[in-house]
Amino acid sequence: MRATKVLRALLAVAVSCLVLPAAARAATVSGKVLSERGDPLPAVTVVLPALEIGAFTDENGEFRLENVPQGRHTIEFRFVGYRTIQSEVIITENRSPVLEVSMEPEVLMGDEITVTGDRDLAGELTGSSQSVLVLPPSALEERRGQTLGETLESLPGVSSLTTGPAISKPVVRGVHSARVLVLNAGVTQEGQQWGGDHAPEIDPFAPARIEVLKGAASVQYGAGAIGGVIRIEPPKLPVDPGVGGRFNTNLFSNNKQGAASLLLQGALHRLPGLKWRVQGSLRRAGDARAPKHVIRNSGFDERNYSVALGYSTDWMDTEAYFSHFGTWLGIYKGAHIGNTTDLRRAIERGDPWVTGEFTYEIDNPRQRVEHDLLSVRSLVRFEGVGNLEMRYGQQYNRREEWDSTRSGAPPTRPGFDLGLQTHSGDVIFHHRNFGNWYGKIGISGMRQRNTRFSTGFLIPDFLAYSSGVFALESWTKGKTTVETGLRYDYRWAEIYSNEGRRATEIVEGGIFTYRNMTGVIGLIHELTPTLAVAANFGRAWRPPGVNELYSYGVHHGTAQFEIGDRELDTESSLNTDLTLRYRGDRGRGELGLFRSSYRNFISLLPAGDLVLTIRGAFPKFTYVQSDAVIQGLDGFLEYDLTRYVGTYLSASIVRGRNTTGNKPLYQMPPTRLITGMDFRLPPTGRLLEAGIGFEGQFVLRQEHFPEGIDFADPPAGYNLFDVLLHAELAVADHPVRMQFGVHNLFNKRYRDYLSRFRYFTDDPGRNVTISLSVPFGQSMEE
Amino acid sequence: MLKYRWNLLSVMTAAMLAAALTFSCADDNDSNPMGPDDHDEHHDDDDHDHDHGPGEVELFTTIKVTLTPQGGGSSLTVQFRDLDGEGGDDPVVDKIVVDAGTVYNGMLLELNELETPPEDITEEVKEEAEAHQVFFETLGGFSPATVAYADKESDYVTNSGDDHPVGLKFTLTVPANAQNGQFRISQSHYDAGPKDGVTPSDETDFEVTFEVEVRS
Repeated sequence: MRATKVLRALLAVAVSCLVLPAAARAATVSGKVLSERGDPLPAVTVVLPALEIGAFTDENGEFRLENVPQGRHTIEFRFVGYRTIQSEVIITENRSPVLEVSMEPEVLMGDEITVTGDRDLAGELTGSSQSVLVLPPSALEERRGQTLGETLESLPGVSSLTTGPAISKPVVRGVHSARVLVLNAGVTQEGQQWGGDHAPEIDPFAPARIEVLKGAASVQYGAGAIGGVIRIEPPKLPVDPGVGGRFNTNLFSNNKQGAASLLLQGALHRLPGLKWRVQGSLRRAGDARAPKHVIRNSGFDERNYSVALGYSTDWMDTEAYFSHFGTWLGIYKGAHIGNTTDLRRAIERGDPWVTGEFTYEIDNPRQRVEHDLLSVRSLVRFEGVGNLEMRYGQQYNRREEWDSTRSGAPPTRPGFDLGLQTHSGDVIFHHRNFGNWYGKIGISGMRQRNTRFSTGFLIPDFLAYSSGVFALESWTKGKTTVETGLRYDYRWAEIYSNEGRRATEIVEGGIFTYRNMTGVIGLIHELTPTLAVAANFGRAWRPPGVNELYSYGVHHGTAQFEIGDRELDTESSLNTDLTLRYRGDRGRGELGLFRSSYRNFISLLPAGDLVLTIRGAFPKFTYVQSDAVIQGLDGFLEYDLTRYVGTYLSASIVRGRNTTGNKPLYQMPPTRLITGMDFRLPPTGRLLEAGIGFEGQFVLRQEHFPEGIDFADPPAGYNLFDVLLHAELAVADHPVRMQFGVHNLFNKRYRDYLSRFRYFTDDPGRNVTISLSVPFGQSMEE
Repeated sequence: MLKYRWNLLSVMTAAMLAAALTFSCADDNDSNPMGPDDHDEHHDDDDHDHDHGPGEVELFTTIKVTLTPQGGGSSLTVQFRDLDGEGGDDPVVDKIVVDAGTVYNGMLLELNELETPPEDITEEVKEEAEAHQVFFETLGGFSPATVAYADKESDYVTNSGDDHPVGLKFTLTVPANAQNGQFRISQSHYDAGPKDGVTPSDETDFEVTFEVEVRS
């Protein structure tokens, strides 16, 4: 068996690494800590948490850490009222690094991570009254080159809804699309989110940090955040003068994907405070391969870039960020069915009717997606009063979907073509501590316009305005923090009639307005220095999406005739979250329990009759509202058994129920368990870090599904196994990271319940990945 | 100091606005990175005269079937017609009335009547004969009736490889024991997979079912 051979080779490499002599020598790390104005900061705590070595800075802001062993270490700088800094240091033979660190006062841009409060780090013990998962740069590095959905799907409580191998959408605690908000560089990402096959337009190389907030966060983020928030932050701009950067590349065997990214950044010597960054990436993939066949026409061709410019003085920071995302995505040909008879034939046959040879070529049907985003963020500090934060975002999303033609000749126009332009702005005032109180008030506004270009009808043109005002306060005493917030939102939308156009279906226009009040109350209590409990109770809402109001037509790939309902009401939910959090010296963990009770939960259900068309008869599906409850538990535990052996476990269970009809909800993620072990080597010489990890993913069959809705019952459960070899070498004082991994080691055939193409094809088989990350020049702050 | 602060703020604000205007006020050109002009008043897109219908670039609105009795007699033409595309008003479907114990020569005509003049899609199917095949089913009391293909790919194109039937021409044999039932005609398109002459594809172009009355 090939798999066993690969495994044997990997073990051989691992063993040969183990027998290398471990010559650990110690060094001294010294340096200076400065305030944001360049003054020395005395009494700053400087620690290496992993080794329990620590020191304070003296009156000159200087510090010295003795006996630091060779390797790569994280040093933390902590000072009350300042943001904690984590800096990475590499110690090789004969090298005693000297660091210079600038600390910034707390409550800076990008730090208001928690939704109900402005505590510093969301992932920390008492960081949030909700469950927040943080993917730091190191974890992101491990997953570089994959889509956002794939990157996040290993997290507890997060899964992904896929449309073939190239398109995946994050599903947070059972909900997705219009119920999960993606915040990119502080701006709510506005694409055609309503579509299950419309993936978030995010360059996988751009984020330096991703946070997933599980649960509703309507008070801070408004209507879209009914099920969760995914916060994506580009890297922080450098503070120290000089130029640096990083080159990343990945290769994937399954779809012969190659990806590369280059980042350059710097700060100017001559104009202190001015900093910049440019970044670009390319991803190119051909057809993915299931164990038994090629998934024809599933490649993509993606090109992205971003630029950022920042300026800081002692009283303000401003950062402008522009990013462009552009991709061509192939849609698996076997899923391009004509009618219900075709779908039934495909399901009965089991194996795909369409197979072929591997190619990079992207044929119709395919999608062309472009997304431009401009974000400008400013923070002005008013001493003794607080900080004023201003954000402005502008986005343009263009989506074309091209069908194959009857004649086989390339079509001259796309099947549909939509342009969505959004302007958004927020002004938030964070007030300074006022006794035990701390908090902020804010207003936000948005203008959005959808334009349908010259082809088929999917959703109508519209113009929408929304605005909101909110206040969030937290009160801390001793080990307890109580948070509370309120928000009022108003939304106005005009849907345009398409009369006068040569359309087959005339859409009647209309004006839709929505007003809503949401509130939240949260509690965090530190039980012991390593254990905290958090609770959160809140109300959230969202207006019905334009597709839910106006859809009219056959949905490709599922052979459903979908009909919107203009009478749909606002969907709202009451959410309760309970989180137990553990942050110890040897591990981290979290256990979350949640329950969301929805009123007017919008879902697409069969109406029981057929729509007769010339292509055949299609079952009619309508958007309807009912009451629903989604609840479950998820959690993880990471624990180091020894310094060299780490282990982890994560689990997610979600149950959704339509309480009006007393039936399970459709498309709830199946129960999943992930467990793994990582064996690490002691750092030697230039080898900063090395190890081998094994992981198993166990997915159960979804037994809770509504009868009579789906064309096929949920597929069987499956188990997948992965191996990952990783190493970090010091090259010219920079940590160069290398990875070699095998996903789906045994080339297991499986179909995931959340794969929208599970009627037609297996999910991809074995995938061997190689990745390399090379930093250069001035070090990057992480 | 405070004055200086506000000056800088206004400069920043101006810069932000300028950036915003650069993007939003560019001309009505698709290559503009932040999209087309965004007028407040809604413009009616009368000039888009190729607006076909629900998400489909190509559309069949009408399938006509002509049946001519072999050995003389008047021919019969029925149609399945759905002028407003999928959804909307129900299609208008004629009834087929045939005589028991008769063999008919059949012919299909496929049209898109949303175009003026109506587009004859049959011509396109002939040109792409190697990528299309029509399938026939006789259902219910009509199931004793049988259909045979009366054309081949080589009738329309110079074909390479196997000369499979197409089905634009066929013969329908209605035996004496045939009764009232249904007649289903569907056309498979072979874009993604190969045509073998017997297996329907998963890409059905149209599928229409006619009620059949058999006179004895």
